[in-house]
Amino acid sequence: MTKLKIAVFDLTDCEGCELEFLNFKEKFSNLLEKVEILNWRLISDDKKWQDIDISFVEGTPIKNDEINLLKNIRNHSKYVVALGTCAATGGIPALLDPKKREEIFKRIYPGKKYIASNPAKPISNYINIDFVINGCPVNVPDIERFVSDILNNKIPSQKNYPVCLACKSKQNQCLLLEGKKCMGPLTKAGCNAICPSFGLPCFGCLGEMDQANTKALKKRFQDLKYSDKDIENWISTTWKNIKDTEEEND
Amino acid sequence: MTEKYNDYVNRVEGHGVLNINFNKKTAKFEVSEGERLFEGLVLGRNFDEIPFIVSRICGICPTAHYISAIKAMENILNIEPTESTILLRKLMLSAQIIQSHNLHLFFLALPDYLNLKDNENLTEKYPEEFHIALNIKRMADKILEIVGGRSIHPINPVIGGFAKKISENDLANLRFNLENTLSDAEYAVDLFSQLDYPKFSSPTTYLAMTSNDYEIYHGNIKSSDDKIFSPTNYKKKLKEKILEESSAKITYFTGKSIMTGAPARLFINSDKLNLRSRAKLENSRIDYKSNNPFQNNFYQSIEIMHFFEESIKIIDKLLKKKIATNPEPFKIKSGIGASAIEAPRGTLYHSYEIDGNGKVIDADILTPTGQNLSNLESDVQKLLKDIKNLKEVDQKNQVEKLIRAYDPCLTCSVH
Repeated sequence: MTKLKIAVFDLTDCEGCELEFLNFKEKFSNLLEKVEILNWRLISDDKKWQDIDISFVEGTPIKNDEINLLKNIRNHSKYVVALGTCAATGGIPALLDPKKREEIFKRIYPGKKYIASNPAKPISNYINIDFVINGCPVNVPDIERFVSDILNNKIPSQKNYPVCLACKSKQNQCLLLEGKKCMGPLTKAGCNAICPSFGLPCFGCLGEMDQANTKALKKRFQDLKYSDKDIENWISTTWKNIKDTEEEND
Repeated sequence: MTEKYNDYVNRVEGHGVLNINFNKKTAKFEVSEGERLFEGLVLGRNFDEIPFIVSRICGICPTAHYISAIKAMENILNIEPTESTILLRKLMLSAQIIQSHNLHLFFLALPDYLNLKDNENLTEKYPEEFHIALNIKRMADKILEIVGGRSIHPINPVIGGFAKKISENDLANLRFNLENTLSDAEYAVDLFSQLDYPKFSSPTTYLAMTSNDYEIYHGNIKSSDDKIFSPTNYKKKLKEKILEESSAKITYFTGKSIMTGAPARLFINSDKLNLRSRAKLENSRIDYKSNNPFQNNFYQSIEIMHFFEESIKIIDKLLKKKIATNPEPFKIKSGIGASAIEAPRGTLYHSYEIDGNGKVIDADILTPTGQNLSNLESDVQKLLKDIKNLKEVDQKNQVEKLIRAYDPCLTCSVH
């Protein structure tokens, strides 16, 4: 049997998703007998580029050379998968308002002339991607399911339902009903509602799901007497505005 | 068509490029992460969101950033967490050090010494070693899952305490598993004490937290030339240099290059190691005062064992009393607060200023790797001089081996 040839690439990010991928690799060694790793800088000296079936890419390409690397990845891979929220939506690094970058760069690096980085954007901003495995970090069962789907010639399913669904299935108490600033209704599932399961409101870190009703949640927060500034801050964590800023930049 | 991109050094956390000019006999290791501007993206955000955000600086040591931010906020708001809360945080930090050291030792560094290309070969050719690495990793992951909520990017610790109570039963189970895997940690020490480390000596100034114990949470910062300062004073003592060619700021202490992390903690606190780890260190053929940065690998294995013993001690203390971790009540007020803890690679500093509404108006983070880079900068040059008679490819490999021995977290250094 020919093995499935995969590669793992890290752009700028925390490398947490890559570590989860490593956890997956250890837990499912039987699955990995059918897989060959061609290129994975973090744990290997091999850097093969020929006939990659699937490239898993984590992080955001904030440097120009990373954008070039990303284009190479696309050119050499049958499928490209955004591994984790940074690659999928821009993630936490995209919380920074692109308009304030220059000013903040000067504040953090006083006296430095040249900034090497661009605003954090999803990898789909630069190349076409085929699949997303969401999570901050991604979790092992989702990776396992994706890889086993591919090995069995199934089209991997993509999650497009809110965190709330996971909360309901775990029978968590609704934090929004308790008046807390929970982002669950807007946020794409993939974390097994882990924060609400600890009694902590959803931060929205997995990004906004398609067709989310942002207006309704904003109104709920307004009814709870939260300030407009706070509401704007919280909504920003689902990177709803990222597309808008792209249009402005284009 | 192939686009141009940088060739980053393999098996290192984050992106760095090694440039060697064999004619001029110069070596330069440049950090080439893009500026991530975390100290800017927290501005204007609510104080209680910060631990969550800054943990995303690093997926290798998220717990260290998370707890540092919590501690700094507690300093601003005058919150005194309970003894149980502090012990549980120490347990998490211990597990974080074990987890990070283990990843570095077995996955990134060990292939250098067994002449393997990668960890894939380790699995096949050295199944026993790989098995040990997995056992240690699973132990650390388990502690972080039980106490922190998950093994990467914690959830459960909050400002003033823990969101959810940790059960005595879970802790007793952890203790049982720790006892059972302590022999694996011991095996790791034996393995890393026997590796053939290149001969190299580079005296430097070491910096580590110090108090009555092998401290990772409270305490002042002590240097190997006997200077002591309070963590709240760190900005005055540690100076960051900004370079055009590097996105990491390089940190110096009293104008000198420094080293922090396992070598520094051992240099300054070795007499406070737990009994069995200390015996291992003293009976080893490796001299931990010999200023050889390659030996960091051995020191990290000693620390893995120490923090296994330490975790057992911490759980014993926790189980003696009723565990109280409900978040302490507090009022929001404006102020400035700084904190330090020992992260896997050394002392990590966070400081924040918040306004009367709890919004962050200033932030500063100083990482262990930023400090160690000052030393690595001169060491790559020094090493190249020592090995100038080797073949060019061997020179390059040896310098890369040194870089990996430092266990730099370039991701952290450019936060």
